[in-house]
Amino acid sequence: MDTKTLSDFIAWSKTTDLQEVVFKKDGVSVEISTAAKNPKASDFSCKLTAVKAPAVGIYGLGKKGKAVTVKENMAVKQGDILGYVEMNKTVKEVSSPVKGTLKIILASEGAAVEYGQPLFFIEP
Amino acid sequence: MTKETIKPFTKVLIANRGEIALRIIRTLKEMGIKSVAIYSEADKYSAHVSQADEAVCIGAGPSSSSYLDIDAVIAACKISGAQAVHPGYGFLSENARFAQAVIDNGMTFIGPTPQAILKLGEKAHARALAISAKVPVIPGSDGVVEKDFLKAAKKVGFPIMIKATMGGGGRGMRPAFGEEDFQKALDTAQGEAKAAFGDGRVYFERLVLNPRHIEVQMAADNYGNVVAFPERDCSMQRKNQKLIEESPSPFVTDKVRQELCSAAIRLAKAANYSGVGTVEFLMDENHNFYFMEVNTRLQVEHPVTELVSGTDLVKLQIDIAQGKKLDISAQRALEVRCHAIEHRINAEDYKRNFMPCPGTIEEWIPAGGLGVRLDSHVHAGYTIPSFYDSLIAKLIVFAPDRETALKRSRRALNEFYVKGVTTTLDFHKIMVNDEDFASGNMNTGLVERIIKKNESKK
Repeated sequence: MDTKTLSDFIAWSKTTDLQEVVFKKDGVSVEISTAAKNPKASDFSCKLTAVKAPAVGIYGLGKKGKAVTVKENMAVKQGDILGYVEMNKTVKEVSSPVKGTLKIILASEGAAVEYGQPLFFIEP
Repeated sequence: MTKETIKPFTKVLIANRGEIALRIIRTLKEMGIKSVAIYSEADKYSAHVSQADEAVCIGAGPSSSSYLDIDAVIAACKISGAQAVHPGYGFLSENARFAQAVIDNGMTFIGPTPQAILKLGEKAHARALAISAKVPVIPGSDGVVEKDFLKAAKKVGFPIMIKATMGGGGRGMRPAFGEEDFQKALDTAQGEAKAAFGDGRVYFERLVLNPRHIEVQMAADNYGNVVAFPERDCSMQRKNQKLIEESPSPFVTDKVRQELCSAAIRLAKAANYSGVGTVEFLMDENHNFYFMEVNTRLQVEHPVTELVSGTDLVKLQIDIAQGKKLDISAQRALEVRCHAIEHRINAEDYKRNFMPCPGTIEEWIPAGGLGVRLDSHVHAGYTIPSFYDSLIAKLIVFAPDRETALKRSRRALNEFYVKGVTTTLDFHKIMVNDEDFASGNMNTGLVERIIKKNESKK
């Protein structure tokens, strides 16, 4: 392959969103790959904030009559109580660290949870 | 004989971290019992977490929010479904309230009863119990001396230590070696006590000169059977922190060993003890020994006894807790099968007053070969958290006799290579080459003397 064709080829590939091109003909082989092929962690962003278990124990929504409600897509304020973790004789509140929309619910009534385990994800 | 009632365990939770958690997991695996590790956020990548069958994160890095938080540990026990809890050493291992909480939640505490922990944990109680069991205690005036001072001092027997009733931190404390210097020492102690605490009252205690720290490992089952193992000599200590422990003591004769062990057994029986425990004594230069305290748990230095007696002490603890009778005779327990020496390797700088040096271990080449055992939870790339103690490894050597064991210690210490953090390996090399230590001529002041000698060399 002559250099002009190669230049044209590279120029053309830049007009596309291809990340990798392999060209093989008559014993000639060209491989072009762009930087985007190997993404770095910083190329991604996640807007979800985890609500972590404040203690090891059993998760629950609270006593009957005083239980809190959690529903997908509900709006939450910073500090809203999203349930409780009963750690033997101590009860710890699960509170929202940010204001936003409750996107993912992982916690379920009566589930055993570890300290720091994500219970919810909120989109601020 | 009471009939044996056995409740077999299928899952045990280890309420500890570091090398001891790993040590316990190893025995559980050999016994076919599932293990549950608990860990703090700072120990997420620790070996005890990866080696256990299950692991539960119980809190943040500081011990008070994790390993010392009774509610957190009990919550982890409940969600794991373990039938028993092994407390290791340190943390909650001698906490009667924790032992009781384990029992109240329907599990077995692998250790003595909360009652025994309380009875032996309080110094005055333990002393009274020792006296009742005819175990020698350091003679003292048993309370404040208010008149006939010299008579009281003679009754205790010189040399004595005159101590302020309200004392602490060495103030109001004066030794008197005989009648000649007694009056002057008394006046000084009373004067100092009055000035420092506004209370000049004093009491007397026999001064044990150049003592050795000698301790006896014992084991008791739930049916009143007690055995004791050959003594450990832990005289190589600095500020009450043991650096080297060995068994048997180069100073203790067969006759003294019999006396020590029968004293430990009498005390265990008097306390209705069950499980393994250690009775600590001070021994003077004439082989007189005096009771100090009981550690109602497994000790850091238990491996030397394991090697000398050929017994897995963790397995023994678990068997006792399951309700098995001791299957080792008193005579068999006392057999000395080898000489064992343990070196506690800490991430500390001995040249800077043994300051802890947490950090990341870059290279880790442990010692090995014949007669070497290494109990450690660390590896290359491991970061020592700053929240906990600085013990990174216990290097234990064993050989048919003390002389060979010392040679092995020197060889193994030279083999051991750690890069990235400062360790006490070099200080251990200095200690094993010290003449007094090598000849078995040690007491609780030797480590300080070695430090001084080494400083003056510079």
